[in-house]
This record gives sequence, structure tokens and C-alpha cells, in this order.
Amino acid sequence: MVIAHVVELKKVTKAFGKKVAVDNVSIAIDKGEIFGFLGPNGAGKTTTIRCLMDFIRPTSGVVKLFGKELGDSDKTYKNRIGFLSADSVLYDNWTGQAHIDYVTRVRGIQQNAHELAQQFGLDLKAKVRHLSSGNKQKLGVILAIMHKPELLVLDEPTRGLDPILQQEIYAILKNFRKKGGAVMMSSHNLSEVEQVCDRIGIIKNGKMVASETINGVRQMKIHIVKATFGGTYDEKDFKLPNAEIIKAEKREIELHVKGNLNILLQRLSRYSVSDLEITHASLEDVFMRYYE
Amino acid sequence: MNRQLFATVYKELRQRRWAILSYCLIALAFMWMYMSIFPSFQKESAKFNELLEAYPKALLEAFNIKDLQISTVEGYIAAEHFSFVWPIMVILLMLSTAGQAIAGEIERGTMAIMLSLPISRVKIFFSKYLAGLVMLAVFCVFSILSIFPLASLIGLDVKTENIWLVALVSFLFGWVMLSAGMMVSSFAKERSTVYFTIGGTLLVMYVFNIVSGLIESAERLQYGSIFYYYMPSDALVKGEVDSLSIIVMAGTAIVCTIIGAIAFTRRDISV
Repeated sequence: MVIAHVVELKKVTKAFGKKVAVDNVSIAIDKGEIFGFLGPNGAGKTTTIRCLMDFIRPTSGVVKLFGKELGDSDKTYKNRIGFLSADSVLYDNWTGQAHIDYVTRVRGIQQNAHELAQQFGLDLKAKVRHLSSGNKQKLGVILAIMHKPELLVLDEPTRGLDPILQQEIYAILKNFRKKGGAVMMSSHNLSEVEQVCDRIGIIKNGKMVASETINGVRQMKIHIVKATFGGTYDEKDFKLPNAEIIKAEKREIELHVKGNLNILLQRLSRYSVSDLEITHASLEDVFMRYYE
Repeated sequence: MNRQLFATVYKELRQRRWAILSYCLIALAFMWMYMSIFPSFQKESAKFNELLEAYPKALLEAFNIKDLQISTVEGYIAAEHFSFVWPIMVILLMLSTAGQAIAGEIERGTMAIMLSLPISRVKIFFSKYLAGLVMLAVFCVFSILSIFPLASLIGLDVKTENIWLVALVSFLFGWVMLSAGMMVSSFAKERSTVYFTIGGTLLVMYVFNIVSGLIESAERLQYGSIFYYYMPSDALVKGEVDSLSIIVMAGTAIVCTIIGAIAFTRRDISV
């Protein structure tokens, strides 16, 4: 028996008039997996998430949740999803409790909101307009996870939260994954993605430019090489297919090298090298390469 | 799954409770004022009748003031309240309700909360619509049916049937406003679009109604105006309601509702 993906986007394209916001994007997320969705502002992350949540309809392609295509009438599958929007917009003149009451009535299922509020130190009696942005985000997170969903769709879940609370969210997500839950989260925070996600997708100008496991990304082994020479050197010797010169001065050169270092080391051996520093590039550097 | 529908109706009513309360109290205050003034006004009614007769008939018709007997409480209320103040109040109440219901929630981003819940878009639309109808009914009770207790308090005789008739006609007018507002709100991203679109359309219709009364060759324009079909004075004074008015108003409301529901179900909502 073939087990369906929790989330499956197949060749999804969304155009607004002539502007193509999402172009032929395919994503599959399985149970027990946290998928990080990365990209700069305007790359198409939120549009993809909106297609997934059925807020907007794709121009072409298929969106499946729990193995079923999204339909117009039956929305019961949304009881299996927890959603947090980027700005965590709430009703200003409502208290946290009023939000919880309304969502509980519509969902019609048992919630563990008070337990979570206690854990987050959130006063549910305060009106939303009196809450700080961090506390609003806490309430948004509570509303997303209180009904124990199977899938979490989170648009920048830790925005506005202090580091302690961020760690709490990471712990919740890891625990959620442990229990077999699936997560799709967009983020700008690379250390967050590195810490929490199993796989990342990078979107650029509406197109998926990469989809890698975190380990795969780490194993891409981009090295930062800084060499200082005893004398002058010829820059042409270091124009290699797998290397990019970042800085070239009279007696010093800095390169980003993808993969094997053998050719570079051969070239370096032609010169008198007084100092050599080789470090692994951070995930951020790897990520930035997709945008060059 | 009526639980979701009623939870959302309750949410809408809860959100708009202060608005509906203030509108009801203002309308009640107006009605109380008119009814209290009427006995002294009645003594001077001959002079007012003379004054009204001096106005061009077409101009009075443009303001839905025709065949008036302002010496009666019904005629007086029709001229003072239902020809101008009441329609303005119900237009404001219904448009603000419809504008907030969909476009307002999209504008603020709170629509994302509802869309992420297991409730279909059709149910979201009709729960908001139903809440609007409840508000309209409450407003009609306070602003129209309050005539009964107020008249008995002041010691005036009113024609019961005529009051019920004007309540029906006025409810229909409010229903059209709500439905048209919900229809535009279903397409819009901002509340202001609803207010300007419907406000502008009503203004044009109002001009149509006036022009058709003043210029003979433009008489047909009146059929394109909702104000032509809204005849509270006929209901109040004569106890008559034109069946064409009922058909046109109810038909307009139903058509606008269907278009609104379809548009909301199919549209993209970027929240």
C-alpha cells in the first residue's frame, strides 16, 4: 500500500494577471518531517502557503493534503491542520480567551489551550490590542497547535519572539515531529531552519531552485579558503570552475570553493604560501549561493 | 454542521453589538422625539400642509413625500422619519455591516483565522449574511415597531396594520442594502470599496428619482432607482404596498446574495 504524503504540491503555478508569483512548484512532505521553506521577501513563499491553505486557488497544478485534492465543500480536513500566518493577525477587541472559544466552537474538538497558555505565560483575559507583538505571536501559536493537528503550516513562527520562547517553539516542533506530525514552515532565520528542519526548499522568483535535506546542504561542503602569499601571485591561476574569488589583493586571496579542494591546493602549491585558512561555509553562505 | 454556522453568527453579532445598540438607541430616540412632538405639531398641521402644498409636487415625490396627511400620526412619521432619516440610518448600518463582514476582515487579515478553520466559504458568507439580517430585524423592531409602545405611552392612536406594512417595506429596503453591500464586499479587498461603490450607486439612483420627477422625458429613469420602489408613505398613510415594489426589492436582494455567495466562494483571498 502506498502511503500518501501529508502535503503534496504538484507543479503548482499561480499567476496574478501577467505576474507569475509561483511557477511550477512541487513539494512533498511526509509524516514526521519538518520542511523549511526559504526565500527572500516576494519570492513566492506566502503565495505557496496560501495555495496550500486554499486561500487562493492555483492557476495550474494540484494541491493534495492527506492524499486528497482540496475540495470546495468538505473542509473537515482543516481540523487536521494548524495554521499560523506571518503577521499573526487577530481580532483587536477580543481577548485571547474569546479567540479560543470561537475556534473551539467551530472546530468542535477538545483543546489544550490553557495548558499551553500557562506554558507560554500568556494572560488569556487581556484584550489583543493590549498585547505585545511577542504575546500576539504566542496566542497565534496556541491557536495553531491547541487542537493537536497532524500538520502545521507556519509562516515565520518565531517572528517577534524572544530567544527563550523561540527555543520553546523549537522544542514543541521537535516533539510534534517525534509524534509523527508534519510541519511546513517558512523562515528567514537560517539558524532556526538548521536547528529544526529536516529538509529545506529554496524558492527564488517563484521557482523552487533547490530542495535538499539539511544534512545534504551541510554536505555540500562549501569551503571558505583564505591564502596569504610570500610574494605576488597570478589571479588567473585561481579562476577555477568550482571556485569563486571573493577578495583578491596583492598578496592575499579569498575564495568560496564548492566540493573538491584538490585543484585549488595544486595551484596554491605553485606559490609560497605564508598562511592558509580553510573553514566550512555556514548554511547561510550555502543559502546565499542560490541567490547569486 | 450548524454549530459552525451559529458560532460564526454569534461571533459577528458579538463584534457588532455596540454598533447595533447605538443605532437602535438613536432610532428609538428619534421616534420618541417625533411622537412626543406630534400632539403640538398636530395643532399647527394646517399651516404645515399649506407649506407643503406650496412645494412643487415632483420635488415632494422625489423625497417620497406624496399624498401626505401630516395631520395624522402616520402621515407625520412618514414625512419626518421614513422619507429621509430612517433610510439614511439603515443604509449606514447595513453598509458598515456588509463592509466589515468580508472586505473588512480581508483588509485587517483576520479572514485568515476563519479560512483556516473547518468551515466552508459558503457557510462563512451565509453566517455573516444571517448576522446582518438579525441586526436588520433588531433595528426594525427598535426603530419601527417601537411606535406601538411609544404611541400608547403618549396616548396616540396608530393604525396597527399600516405600521406592520411599513415595517415590511422598510425591512425589504434594508435587506436590499445588506445584500448589495455583501455582494460588493465579496469582490472587494477594502471596506472603502464597498462604501464608495454602493454609496455612489445610491447617489446616482437618488438623482434618477429626482430627475424623473422633475423632467417628463426622463420619467423612465425612476424604474432604475431603488428609491422608487421604497414607498413607506403609501404603507403608513394608505396601508398599501405595491406588489411590484416587493418583487423588485426581494428579487434584487436575492440576486445580489447569490452573486455575492458565488464570488466569495470562488475568489482568491490573500491574507
